[in-house]
Amino acid sequence: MSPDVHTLTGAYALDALDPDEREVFELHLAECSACTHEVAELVATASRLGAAVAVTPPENLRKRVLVEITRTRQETPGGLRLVGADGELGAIRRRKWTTRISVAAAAVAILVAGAFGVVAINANHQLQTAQGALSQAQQQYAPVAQLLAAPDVHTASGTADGGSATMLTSRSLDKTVLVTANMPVQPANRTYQVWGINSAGFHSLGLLGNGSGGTLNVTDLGNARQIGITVEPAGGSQQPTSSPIMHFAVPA
Amino acid sequence: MNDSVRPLRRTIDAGLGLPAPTAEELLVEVARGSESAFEQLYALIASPIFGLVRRIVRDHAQSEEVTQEVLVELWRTASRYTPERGSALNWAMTLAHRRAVDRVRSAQASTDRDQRVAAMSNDREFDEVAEEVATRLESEQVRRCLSGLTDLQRQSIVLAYYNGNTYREVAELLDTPLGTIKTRLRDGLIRMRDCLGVTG
Ligand SMILES: [Zn+2]
Repeated sequence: MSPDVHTLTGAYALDALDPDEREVFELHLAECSACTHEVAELVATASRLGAAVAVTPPENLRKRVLVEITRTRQETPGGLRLVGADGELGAIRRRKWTTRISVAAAAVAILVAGAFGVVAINANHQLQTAQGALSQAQQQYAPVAQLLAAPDVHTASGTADGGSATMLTSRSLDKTVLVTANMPVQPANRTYQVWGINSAGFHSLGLLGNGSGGTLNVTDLGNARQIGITVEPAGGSQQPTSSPIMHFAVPA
Repeated sequence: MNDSVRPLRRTIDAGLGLPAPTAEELLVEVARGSESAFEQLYALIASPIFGLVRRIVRDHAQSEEVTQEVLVELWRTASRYTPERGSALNWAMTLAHRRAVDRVRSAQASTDRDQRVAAMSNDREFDEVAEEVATRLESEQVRRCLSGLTDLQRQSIVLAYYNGNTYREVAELLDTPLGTIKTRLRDGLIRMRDCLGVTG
């Protein structure tokens, strides 16, 4: 990278770089906070130049746009992009949450511990949390144990703020269970709500209380391709009213 | 301090004495699928978008097309907007500039583009462009700040921003070394930033 790459902030803010240069400079931006800060200010400055030449568009443009949006599906909250026509789920933009395999593995460990009465977690507070969750939900682990024993069980997990959710599904048993652990406690008037997501949108799979652990028997997975969890007003919502705190693909 | 462009809060309040929602608040509603919020947002941002797009694209029908694309894209991607990305107007204008520039650059690939650059080299035409911008700016403040730049800073910024030229083309048009144009675009914009009181 040439030493004067930093001086490209102006040209970049004005969209005046060639495509190749733009790409290279964006790589630089990812690792240079000084340029990132300067670009933000210069882009805002350029926008002022743009706003200074405002011209009212013709009224028919307004009508066309207002009709067009009624036919245009929005990206859903949280950046999940649902592509309608070909039935494919589009790229998923992960911003606030990521799937961390290690935490997912820990969740499965807790599940196994619950199912077989063996707890193998070292940190004391984690142990207490896990034991509390397990004793509360002892009965609910029967279907989990059954699923874990199925030859065709598939699992998938997501994490958020230290909590995790694991989905286990078996086609031969025609059974799907979602288990959460260590979910951050929300105010009493809120609840975690689980959603099945496909190109048609969101449908509710059920509620999981306002925090810590829980088990949900999923009876209506439908053709969901993704699972999302949002925080909703107690009692749940018809459609999500906030961005998913977590989402992951339905086990294959 | 710098209220010439910023106040996007609509002044119409239906006589209820309630402040009308800001563009930022509306965009949040739009992200939740509110068509009526989008209609209100349109009233705030359609003119700045159309004005900028028309300045760059020139052709009226194509300018309407690009403006429509930008507005529908704002509807589609509203959930990506967060206040950390700056004002809603900034978000919209950044998208509008990029789409307008994409349009002229793809339309004028290769020979067309070369001819356009050649035509732009004509002094008279360039003066016209610069003049048009200087006299038609609706914001007094932007005009005043532009006039505080050196000639080379102002010409470079006008060609790059309002005409959609790359900095290579700007260098060619102004018969000035590439490195100089790069620097003038940056220090000119920094001077504009300070003059307009823009903060990140
Ligand atoms: Zn840098």
